[in-house]
Amino acid sequence: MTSEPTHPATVLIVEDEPPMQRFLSTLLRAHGHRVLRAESGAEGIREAATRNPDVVLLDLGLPDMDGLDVVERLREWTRVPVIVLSARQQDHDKVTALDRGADDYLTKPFSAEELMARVRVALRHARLRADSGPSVIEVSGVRIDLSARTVHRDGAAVDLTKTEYDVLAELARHAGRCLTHAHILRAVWGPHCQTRAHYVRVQVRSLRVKLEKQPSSPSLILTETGVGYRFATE
Amino acid sequence: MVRQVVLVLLTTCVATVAAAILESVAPTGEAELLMAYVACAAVAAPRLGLGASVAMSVALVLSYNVFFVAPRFTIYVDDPSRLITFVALGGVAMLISALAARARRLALAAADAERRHLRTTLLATLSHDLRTPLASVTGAATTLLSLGDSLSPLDREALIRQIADESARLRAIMDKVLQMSRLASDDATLDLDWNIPEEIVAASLSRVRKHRPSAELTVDASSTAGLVYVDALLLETALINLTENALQYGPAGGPVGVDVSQDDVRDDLLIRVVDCGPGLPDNPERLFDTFVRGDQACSKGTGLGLAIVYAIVQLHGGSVWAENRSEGGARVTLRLPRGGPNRLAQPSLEPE
Repeated sequence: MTSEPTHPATVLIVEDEPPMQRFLSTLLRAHGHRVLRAESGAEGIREAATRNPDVVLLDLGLPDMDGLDVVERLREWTRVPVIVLSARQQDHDKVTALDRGADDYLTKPFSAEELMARVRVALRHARLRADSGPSVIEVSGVRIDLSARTVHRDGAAVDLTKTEYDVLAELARHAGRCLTHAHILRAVWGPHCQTRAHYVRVQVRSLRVKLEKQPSSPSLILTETGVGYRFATE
Repeated sequence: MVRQVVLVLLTTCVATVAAAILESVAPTGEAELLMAYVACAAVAAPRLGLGASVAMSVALVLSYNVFFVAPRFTIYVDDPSRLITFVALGGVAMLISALAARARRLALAAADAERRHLRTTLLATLSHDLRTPLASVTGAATTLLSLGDSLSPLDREALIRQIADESARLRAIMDKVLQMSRLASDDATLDLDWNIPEEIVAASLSRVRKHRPSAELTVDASSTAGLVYVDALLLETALINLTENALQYGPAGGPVGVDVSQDDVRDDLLIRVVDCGPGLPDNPERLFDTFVRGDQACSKGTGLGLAIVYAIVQLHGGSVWAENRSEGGARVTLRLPRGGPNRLAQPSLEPE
């Protein structure tokens, strides 16, 4: 999936630090994207509303308002992919950002590769949302048919419980994106189990045993410690 | 203050009673009675301040006078030369107190000096460890700026790579310092939840592999089931530090093995990190003191990584220790209570 060409997109960078802005603009333009810039939360919301970007890079440490509030405000009226950039290592911010509607996050300092990988995933999901999304996902020898509700590993059918399948399907539908435990709980168990993250962990453990080539070194379902899980895209 | 008064009265009473018992049991001379008084004074001395010491000396002399010097039960004395005995008793009691006070002062001063020394060493080491990679970055960047086109593409690429690598090193040290100060602060909080030990181990090794792709890391987690109540991110950090430490002090690419098992006697999780390196120096237990390095000659980085491990394990109510293996190399063992610092019971794995 890395060989997939990136369609030129309009990226809105909401970041007040000039060196960071410069790095992001240079990098994104070099990949053929169009860059819009905002230096505050208010400006960012305005630009998002008037210029219709394809993806938003949002720094959480803005001068005028909390980046988390910007995410919430954007989500009131748009499903544009939002990737938050956080200088704080504390994961509460990342989890909160994701739960408020951000699609992904990056912790500073991050490399150019990490950023472009996230941008590619975000753009792909935006495009897929525009269509109806793929019904078959195939990664690393594992084939998930969402319409038939079947899972095969290297051609052989895999027997999953309903809960295991639901967790896997939710992760696969958002392949490449980090889903918080709370998100998965809400999607699979409903809104009342949000504090029981270990339900998710136990299901993921079973899935790894059944699907991973090496369960002790997972390459299909990746752990984002303290935050959630990410389904691999290659 | 009240405690001191109580201690003085208590000491005097005990001395009096002890001397009385001695006299009734073996009516020998005066020396033994005075010994009883002096002994009690010696026991109480380290816990008394200056004023209390004086009060105790006076109280002991009075007690001796009243109860054991004729005429008894009065403060008068038949024989005026007994006053010399009183002065001697009082003097010895005061002397003992003074010596005890001096010893206490010296001990405090020594502890203080060690703390100061540690802080100086910390700052010196940190300064070195932060400046070194930064110097590489500055050097490489300014070289690129000033020589730019006249450098060969190979040289240019090498310098740029150096900037990237040394920045990463700087980040690693910065993260450790911040982590340590967070853990050392009084209100360090744990984000505890029921986690799967194997998952955290796998995530830790995966992070280590990102920086050291050729490292040989193995996991043996076959014998555990069940969850552990931990702060996942902190445990991951601890394991990463231990693994990187093992890689650093062992042969360059490992192998380093991580083993997860259950302690059957108590409901504890055991995680062991083993390497095939030269093993630990003479005091393995000092490995977790801040800034103690295994081998000064080949040490890189502060001992901060291990101090962080220690702090994390302590916060979880667990323990960590290091020892040499009989087959060579070192083994570090983490012991964590399955139910966390408050030993909670295992939860159900699914909604009922």
